[in-house]
Amino acid sequence: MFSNYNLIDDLFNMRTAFDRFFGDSLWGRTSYPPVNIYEGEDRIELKALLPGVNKDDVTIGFENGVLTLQGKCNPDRTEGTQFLREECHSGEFRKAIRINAAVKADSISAHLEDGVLTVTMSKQEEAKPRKIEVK
Amino acid sequence: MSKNTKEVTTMENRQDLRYVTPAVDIRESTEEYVLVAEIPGAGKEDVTIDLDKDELKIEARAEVRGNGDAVYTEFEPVVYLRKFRVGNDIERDTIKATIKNGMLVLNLPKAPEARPRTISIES
Repeated sequence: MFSNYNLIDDLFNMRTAFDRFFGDSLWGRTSYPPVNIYEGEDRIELKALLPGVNKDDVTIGFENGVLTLQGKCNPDRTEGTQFLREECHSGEFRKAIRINAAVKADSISAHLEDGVLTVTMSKQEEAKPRKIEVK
Repeated sequence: MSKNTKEVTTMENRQDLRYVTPAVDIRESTEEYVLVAEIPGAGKEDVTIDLDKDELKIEARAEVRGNGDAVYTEFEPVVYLRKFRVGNDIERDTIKATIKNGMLVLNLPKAPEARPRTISIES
């Protein structure tokens, strides 16, 4: 009979366990999702890579200086079909990030575009840099 | 094969950004293959898909940068690059690509002669 020969053949070898451990991939060595934090004079910005995540499938929380991201990846992934490769993230994720600056909890806003989540937080007055005049 | 692949990658590495291999899912149904690649940070205009002979190349620039100084980083701006060999059971003229939420979706329809069918018995 016909063999289950892969007609779409990967020119690169598959991403291997080695890649995942030693950081050939973006996610190497970090928990999902990977995040970056940027600090400006009056605000903190966090970016997280969340490919395949819908706006309604992510929840952002903030408590005691810890920002939590949780949700579901890849909800569109259909079951019951035959996978020749299955490397994309799926299932639930949860990640907590300590924000090392005093931010106003009610100032936190977020938006999701092209699979990148951006969370913006305003610093509290006392966390902003100040110049102290010498009298 | 893997040796050749490495050489190609090195040559193309002259750009400023690091190349990474995006994660992909490939599903097969009776009518088509569906290839999904994770390319967060890349929009429609950042993606090029080339089909040259039997080589399908996906390249996507994802220059994610924030406002302010990066004080903690787990990822960097990258170019996603991955190549596939496409069999001749695929109908090349009708390959379709869409992008949503940082996921590139390629629909590769199977040629009619590659689809399973039932053969009826005559007389």
